[in-house]
Amino acid sequence: MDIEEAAAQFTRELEALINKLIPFPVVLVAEWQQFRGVWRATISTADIAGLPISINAKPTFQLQFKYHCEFHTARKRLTVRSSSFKVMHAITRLPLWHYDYVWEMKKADSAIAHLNVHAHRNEIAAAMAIANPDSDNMEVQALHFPFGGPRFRPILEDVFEMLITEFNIDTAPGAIRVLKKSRNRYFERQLETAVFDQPETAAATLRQLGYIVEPPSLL
Amino acid sequence: MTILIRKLTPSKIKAERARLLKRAQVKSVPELRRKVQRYQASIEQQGIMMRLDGLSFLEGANPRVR
Repeated sequence: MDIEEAAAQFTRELEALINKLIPFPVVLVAEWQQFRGVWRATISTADIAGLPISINAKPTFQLQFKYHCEFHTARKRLTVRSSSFKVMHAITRLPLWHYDYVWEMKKADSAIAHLNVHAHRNEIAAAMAIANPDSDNMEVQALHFPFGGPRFRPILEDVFEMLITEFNIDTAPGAIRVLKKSRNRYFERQLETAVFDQPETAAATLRQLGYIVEPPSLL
Repeated sequence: MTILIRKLTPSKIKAERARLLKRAQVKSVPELRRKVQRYQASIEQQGIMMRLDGLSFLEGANPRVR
C-alpha cells in the first residue's frame, strides 16, 4: 500500500460513514505531498464551507473538519497527526465548540486531544486574568479541556452522536447503528496500535487470560 | 464513491494558497487568521483557514498548541 491507496482508503471510509449519517451526499477531498522523505496527506470536505446540519429541516449548525496524516512506509498505514471537528452556528457563523487532536501538543499531555468551548463565564475569565495577568486572551475558548492522549480520543463519530442525542439533528435512517459499528472499528484499530506501543503490557494481559505468549526472539 | 484525490507539488500548493486567499478576499494568511480569531470570518472563510493550515502541513509545518 502506498500513500495514494492509504489516503484514498481512509477518505472513502470517512465518506461512506458520513453519507450513511446525513440525508444528502457529501464529497471529501484528499491531497498529499512528500516532505523531506515523509508522505503527508490532508482530508477535508470538498465543499469548503463544510457540512450543513439541520434540525427539523431548519439549518442550525455547520460542521467543518480536517485530518492531517502521515504515511508510515514501514507499517504501510496512515497515522493521524492532527484533526479538528468544529461546530458552528449556521446563521450567525460563529464557532460554538471544537474538538482538536494535536499530536505535538506542548501545553499538556492530557490535552493532546481536547475540547474548546466558545462561551463566556466571568468567573473563568477572572481566574485566567489572575493566572496570566500579561495575557490578552481571557476567553474561555482559549482553554483546552483535556480528552486524553493520542489513543481512544474523541472522533467524528462522537461529534455526530452528540449532535444526534443532544439536538436530534436530521440524519439518515439507522445513523446511530452506523456510528456504533464505525466506532467499534476505530476502537479495534486503536487497540492494535496500543499493542504496538506497549507489547509487553499486551503480552502480560494475554498471559493473565491464559494465552501462551512468547517474545519474538524465542520463536 | 466520489472522493477527490490529488497529489500536490510545491508549485501547486503555492497556486492553491493564492486561489484560497483570493476567494477569502484577504491578502495574507495572518490577516485571515486574525479575522477567524476575532469572530469576523464567514463560515467559508473559516473553512478556507482550515484548508490553508492543511497546505502548510503538507509543506512541513507541524500543528502545535503551547
